[in-house]
Amino acid sequence: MDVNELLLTALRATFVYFFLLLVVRVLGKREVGTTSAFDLIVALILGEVVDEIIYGDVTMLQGVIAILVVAIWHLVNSWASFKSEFIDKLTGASPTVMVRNGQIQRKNLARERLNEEELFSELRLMGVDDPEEVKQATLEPNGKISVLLEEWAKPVQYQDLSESKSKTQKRKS
Amino acid sequence: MELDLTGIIFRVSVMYIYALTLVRIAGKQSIGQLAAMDLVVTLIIGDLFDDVFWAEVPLVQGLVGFGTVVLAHILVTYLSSRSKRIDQLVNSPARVVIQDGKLVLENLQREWMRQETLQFELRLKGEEHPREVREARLEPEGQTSVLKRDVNKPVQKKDRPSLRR
Repeated sequence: MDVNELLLTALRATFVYFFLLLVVRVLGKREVGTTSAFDLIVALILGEVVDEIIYGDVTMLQGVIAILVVAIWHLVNSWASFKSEFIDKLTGASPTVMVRNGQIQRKNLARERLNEEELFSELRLMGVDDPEEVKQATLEPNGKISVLLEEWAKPVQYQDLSESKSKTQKRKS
Repeated sequence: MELDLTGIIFRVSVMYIYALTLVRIAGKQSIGQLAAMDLVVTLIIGDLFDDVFWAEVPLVQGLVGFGTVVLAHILVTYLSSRSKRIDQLVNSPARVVIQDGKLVLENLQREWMRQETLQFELRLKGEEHPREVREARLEPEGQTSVLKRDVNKPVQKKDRPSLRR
């Protein structure tokens, strides 16, 4: 392995790093890895194409074009999903209600291939041990479960106290 | 073709220790700073390994390629922590999406964020109505932070002395 090839490797790695930095920045904060399962897959794709480029198995031009095409498709998808509810529903998931007013929605659970044990485990992870307390538990498009408590099960808020006004003013000062 | 088992053990071990060392050096500063890029760099690291394991590229070339990527990432995170300019260049700024109970449509538009998406982000924070929110921001890491109005915050023990006992 001669020194020239090593230098080239370092150069290619540097270029690919900054190119990906640019692509990730342009795609925006929600588009890579955070919002939905597919965003994570895009991050995986972007991460997985680089070894051939850095080790010189494909030319830089080929690598750049491959990355650009993935990025452009993802941008088009995000834009179209923002503009059209239909495309948003088509390419993303929609939320599914798992518990409503303390009642477990068995049909919806079955549709998402979850059993009750898994639901209880998710509720426990949110600190809830009794489904009665749940006004609405939802499997959200990003695969996480959100829990809204019944009004009576919520912690007391400052506005619920008779002397709430003076308290909040005190807190601010 | 020979099996080259000792070679595999050797290369995997060298790369493992090398990666552990570099990531250990990179780790502390880079946590949460450039969330999306951290993820992509993590994936790149994984991607650069297998070619070396199977001796498709020489070990030194793997060390150089991998080291360069990690060093570039350390450099960028370091610079963005030191300079506001560079931070703005590599990081998308936090944007306010709810202010005093009202949606800031202009910023939702700018982030291509649907109102339904904001709704589910609020639900994930246990928040039912935007009206109880003083301020929600889409943070650079891509998550939504939610701050309740003062009157909607849970009561703290200090404000109800009778509850303490």
